[in-house]
Amino acid sequence: MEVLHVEGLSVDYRTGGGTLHALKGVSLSIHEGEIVGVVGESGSGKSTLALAVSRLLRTPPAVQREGSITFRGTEISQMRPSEIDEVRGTGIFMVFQDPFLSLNPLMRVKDQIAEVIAVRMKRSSAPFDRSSAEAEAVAHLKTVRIGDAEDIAERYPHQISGGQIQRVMLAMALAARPQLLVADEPTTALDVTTQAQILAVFKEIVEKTKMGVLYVTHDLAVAGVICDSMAVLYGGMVQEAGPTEKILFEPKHPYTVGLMDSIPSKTKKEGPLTAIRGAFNPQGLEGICSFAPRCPLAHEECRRGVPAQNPVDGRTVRCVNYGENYEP
Amino acid sequence: MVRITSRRQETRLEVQELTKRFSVGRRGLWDRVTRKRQKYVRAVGGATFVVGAGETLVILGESGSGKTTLGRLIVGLEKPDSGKIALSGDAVLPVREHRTQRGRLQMVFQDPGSSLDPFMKVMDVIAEPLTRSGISGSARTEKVDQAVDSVGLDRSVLDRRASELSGGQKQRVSVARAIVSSPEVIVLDEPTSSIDVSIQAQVLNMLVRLQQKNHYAYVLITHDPNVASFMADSVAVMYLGKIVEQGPAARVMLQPKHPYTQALLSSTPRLHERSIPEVIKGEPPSLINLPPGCPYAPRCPYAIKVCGEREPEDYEVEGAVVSCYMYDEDVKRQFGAAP
Amino acid sequence: MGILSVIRQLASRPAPLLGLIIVSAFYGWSIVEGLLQLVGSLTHNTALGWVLLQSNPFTPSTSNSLLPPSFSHLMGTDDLGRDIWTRVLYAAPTDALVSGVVVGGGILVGSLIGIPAGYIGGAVEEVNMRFTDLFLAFPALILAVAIEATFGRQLIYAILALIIVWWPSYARLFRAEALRIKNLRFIDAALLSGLPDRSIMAKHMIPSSLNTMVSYATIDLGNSILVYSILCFLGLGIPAPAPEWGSMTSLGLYYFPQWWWYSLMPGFVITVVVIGAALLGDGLRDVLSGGA
Repeated sequence: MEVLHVEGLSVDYRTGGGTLHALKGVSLSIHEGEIVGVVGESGSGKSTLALAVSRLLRTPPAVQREGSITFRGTEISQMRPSEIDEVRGTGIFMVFQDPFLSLNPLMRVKDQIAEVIAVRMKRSSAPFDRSSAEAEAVAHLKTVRIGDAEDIAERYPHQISGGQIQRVMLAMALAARPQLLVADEPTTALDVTTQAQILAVFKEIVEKTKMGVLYVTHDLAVAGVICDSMAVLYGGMVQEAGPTEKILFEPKHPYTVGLMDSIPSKTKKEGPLTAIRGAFNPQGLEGICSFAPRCPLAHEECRRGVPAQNPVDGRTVRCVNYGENYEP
Repeated sequence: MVRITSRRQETRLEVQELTKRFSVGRRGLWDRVTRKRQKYVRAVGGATFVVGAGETLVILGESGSGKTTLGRLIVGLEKPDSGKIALSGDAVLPVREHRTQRGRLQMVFQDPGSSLDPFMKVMDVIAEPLTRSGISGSARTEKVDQAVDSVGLDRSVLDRRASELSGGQKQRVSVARAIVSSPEVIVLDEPTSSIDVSIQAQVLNMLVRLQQKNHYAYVLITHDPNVASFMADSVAVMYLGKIVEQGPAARVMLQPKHPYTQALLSSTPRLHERSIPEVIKGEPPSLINLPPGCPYAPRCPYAIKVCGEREPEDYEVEGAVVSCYMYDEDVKRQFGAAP
Repeated sequence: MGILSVIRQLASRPAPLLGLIIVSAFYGWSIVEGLLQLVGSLTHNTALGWVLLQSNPFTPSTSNSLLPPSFSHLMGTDDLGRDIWTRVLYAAPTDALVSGVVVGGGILVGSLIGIPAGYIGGAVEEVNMRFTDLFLAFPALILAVAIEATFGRQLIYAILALIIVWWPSYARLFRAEALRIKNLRFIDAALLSGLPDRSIMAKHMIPSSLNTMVSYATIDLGNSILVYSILCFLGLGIPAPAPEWGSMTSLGLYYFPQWWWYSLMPGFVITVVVIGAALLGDGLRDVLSGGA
């Protein structure tokens, strides 16, 4: 069952200083129980994608120029805010990067989880019982391996750590039982040791609930560990997409290759890192491959048009080196 | 107490038993009257190491390990409670009280956004370390030009305001500012943590190149073991204010001896690995009023009774120094060889 | 960002654009007219003061007394037959000067007190801020009355009184800015470069603070004109026959409501300028903070 289908999504930001094309024709699908990773650096549009799917884009200045976002068969990108509120929570749940902005500082942990349960009950027209909700909240906290769950449940957000807050968010996801979880860099602000714990818990609850996950990150290694399939974003477009195994072990797109080479995996004595030259500049990318200015394999065909995605060895690659096809 | 001595010619930086604690919370009149105990955070407890010219010491640690405070102590931005810091033999004095530095010690900061005064022109930012050096006019311009060239930026950037640059460009300007006064030691506090991975590679290459040319001693602070492996000649691993293991990079990163180092390195997701072993339970405790004994004991799978009573000594193990009872002769005799 | 870019962004929306027009017209005119008056009084050729105006603002003309607004007298005439619009234009430089000096003086004194308080902290902060609190409590009008009663009714004393009550808010703003900036990394870098405290404060804290304060100061220009007009209204401004917006409004009250233009026209002009400054200041805040 396809939980999320994004087709040809283009989003612009219109500001006093000009128009920024944050996303250009992005398409992807997420099925039940599947964790799809969106990997990109700053300027790639990955956060815009997460916000667009969650319908949290501020419009203005964001404008969806074209494309569709379909959640379980229903188009949600044109829904009114009141309709979207019905979808959020039990349909689509979000976990964001900064743990300290995620929870209501004035409510105890157990009350916030209970609130999610109350919403879930209301939507399925079931009666809400506070004490069983609180018990369920504690059970979820235990599932996400929070130490001293009963104690943490009574605390306020400022009394627990960032790692614990992210776990609470995952417990809330368990309580909400969403079909789709949108996670935007959920472990970036955490220590490596805490991150390892959260990622393990993450995988467990996805296996248990079979929810679809859109996992946005800049960290290829984390994506490699967690995701079933990946889309590599650059300049607002999907450059390479497919099963994680394929992309991780045989990257085809020059950007994917460059990104992996940038991650230090040797010592300086063995020579400099193979860096991608230059930096991302959104100007001047009209009608050409967005990566051409920095690509070591660029040639004149790369500037003849915007390359289309080519199916190559079980994944798609947006590069003329794999087929001279262009977007119309 | 064991010291790792540098193999190269001259010692640029020598640090001995550096400690620093911060008081937490305000003590008002009432607290003083009721004799309420002042709470302290032990940020750094007894750091000792030596860095030579052209060498990089990486301080590897997570947040709360005290690594940033250690970096600030080295350059004099914080005043140590005890211990010594010497720059090529001269004592390093806290900068707030003694503005005598003249740029021999420099620092590159983590956050590009706050590293540069957004209202200043780039050329003034880079020239700032030369203000008290007596170098002015064309000599100063020349040094600034050289610095900008060395970090791979176009000279046109000199006339722009710092706020107009990208994150990667700002970090390069930070480095240019750090090298313009021809320092002996540069402390880099997470210099690439806030920039994209593809730009990080460029910046790391640049730092290596600059060091090869000018023989700076680097103290590089990071939480990223990949960056540590690439940049380090020697590594000191910090946990809750204490250096738990230090030694040559190859030894520490490839054959870690301290349980925390082992856990840290295996928790890091490596490219091409598709699973993560979850090895450390629990969370780091609060830094306020630490309990006695080894700071890692509460989370250590190998902890024994003495670990919670007294801090372990530094033991020399295969060319590195490890602060763990597993390498204590008496303990080894009791329990058999270390894992 | 450059001045031209700021102006362009301000001009792109109606409210800030209106504010920009009003404020530019007001200060532009005041500078020109003010210079003429200044040169005129220095060279004893006071007629220079009304060379750009349709008539001499001081000459009475009883036959034209209390005429309603018309094409020849845009704002009507006062009880002595003097054209009100002419007198308004003639009085403009005074308000412009007062606003500039008071806000400028407030910023100057406020920065000298507030920045060291924030940056150095400790005893300096305590002393400076308690001193500030003291002055914050002074009511402007009472102080102005007291000073002018003691020293006489001259422009300089009104300005002095206003500066005294104006600087404390700026001191607080500058202190807050200094506190924010001192924790930024480039201050550490300046320390490592060996810069003494006074250089750090001058070089790093002032430009940043001023940038933060520009929109507040712009709105404040309007506020100072308003308060000064109130002082004049209460009779504490320069004595007649010198035209002053506040005094004119006050005098005109005797002729209200039958000859309503006498009081309302100067009052209207004050309102327009104050609102213009507020619109501009508000627009500046949006533009400078990068908001859409």
